[in-house]
Amino acid sequence: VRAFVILLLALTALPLAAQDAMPPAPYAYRQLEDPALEARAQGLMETLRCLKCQSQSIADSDAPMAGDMRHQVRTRIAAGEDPEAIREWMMTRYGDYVSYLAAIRRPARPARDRGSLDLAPVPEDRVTFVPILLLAAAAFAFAVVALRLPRPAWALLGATLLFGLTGYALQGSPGQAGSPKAAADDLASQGAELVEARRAIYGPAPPSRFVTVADGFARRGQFADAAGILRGSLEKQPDDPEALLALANALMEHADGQLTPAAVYAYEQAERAGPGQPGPGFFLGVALIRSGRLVQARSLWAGMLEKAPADAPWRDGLAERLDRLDALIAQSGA
Amino acid sequence: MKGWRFFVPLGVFALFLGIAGYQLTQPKDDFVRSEMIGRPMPEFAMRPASPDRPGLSLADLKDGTPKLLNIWASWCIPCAAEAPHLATLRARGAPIVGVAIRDRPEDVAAFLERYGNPFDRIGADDLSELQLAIGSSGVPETFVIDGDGTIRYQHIGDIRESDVPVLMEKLREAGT
Repeated sequence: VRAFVILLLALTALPLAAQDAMPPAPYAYRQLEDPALEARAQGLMETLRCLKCQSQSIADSDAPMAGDMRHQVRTRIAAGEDPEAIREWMMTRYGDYVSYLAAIRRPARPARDRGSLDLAPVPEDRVTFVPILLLAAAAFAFAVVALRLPRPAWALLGATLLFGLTGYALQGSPGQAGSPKAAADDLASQGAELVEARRAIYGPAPPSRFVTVADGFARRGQFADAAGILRGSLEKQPDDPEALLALANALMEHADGQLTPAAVYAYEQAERAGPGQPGPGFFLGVALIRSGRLVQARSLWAGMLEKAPADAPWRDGLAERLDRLDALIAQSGA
Repeated sequence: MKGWRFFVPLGVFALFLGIAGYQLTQPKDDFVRSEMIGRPMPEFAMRPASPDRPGLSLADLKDGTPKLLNIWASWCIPCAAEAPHLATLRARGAPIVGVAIRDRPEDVAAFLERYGNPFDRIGADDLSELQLAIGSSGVPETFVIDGDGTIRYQHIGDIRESDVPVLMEKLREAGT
């Protein structure tokens, strides 16, 4: 079920993009005068994929970049260019991704360097299906010879292997080179660090058991689940400052570090529930820094230091961070 | 009991379903990478995006020195986040030219005032024309352009601290 939910989220999530203040490109929303040309442009725009929004064509998208692509398509068609030439131009830049018709109409790739002997090459696409066919044949032979599959089951196994091959033929792209890549940033370790940092402030006495469970999820990077548990906890104990702060952190992480109004509200509530505690202010400052609001973070932390009692154990740590923040602000020339 | 052999095809079938299910739940790579790596930059000439830096044209990139070409915009939040790292790259001697996407001069000026200006030149790309021509699919992105104006490398997204040495190395490679 979880996987299904993730799949649904991936399909419906819209990228959070900032908008620019520029007016749309002249032909982003204006049709060409000549209906025949506009129809050609429309046909192409409906089969070019918006680069910012994944499941929309540029004809359907309101993203500014899609508008600029429409402008380019319309002006080039008005200038007499062939729609397929424009598609090829786009695919030379963005690959198959940009065209919904990519699989059908693959543009000619630049000739690879084949040395001086220019032998007539076998089309790459056909050669690359050889290994999978050999694999299927080997699997069949293995079942018959080594596992001594009874003859009546041969047809069944053959059908199953054909099923697998069909799936591969539809979805596989054996012509594509392998592209090993470095592991993505580990979301989980970030969650663990946040939990440790919070515990360092409130510890060593353990938090409520709800918070403990939620921390388990947060450590693994499952911030939505952590937030759900914390909300349940807060219904029972609305004034638990550590739960409120954990909720604020989980909300922020779930939004990929964006400081949402909900997270800000949770930080405020944490501050209200436990006045004088450094946790909410500290983490709100971190969130502000991550959203690029360095100056705001600075004034927040400076205010905390001013109000802090002289013997507060966290004074030195915060002062040190404030110094580092000042260095960062100076460096970025604000 | 030899009946188990009849379950071999079923096992193979379950394996196929398992592979399909596994692949469906894998996070996918959302980056649309430029296919223009190794190809020359197109002909272009852009007006200055800010009053205190000149604009950008193909000739500026073909002056023999490899450069970083930073595609950014004042309205883009990650662009502010990468500003300190661009400053670091600049301090380590990387020449950086900027392309401001869909941006007003006053917004560009305010952004540079606030986050610093590591750019030698900043061109204004009001219709994302250069961005489309080099296969860039968003802001911020950073390209390494060699001294002949050939695109050598593309970095997608904001530059993090860990990307600084990578970009310095790619810039060095482009110069050899």
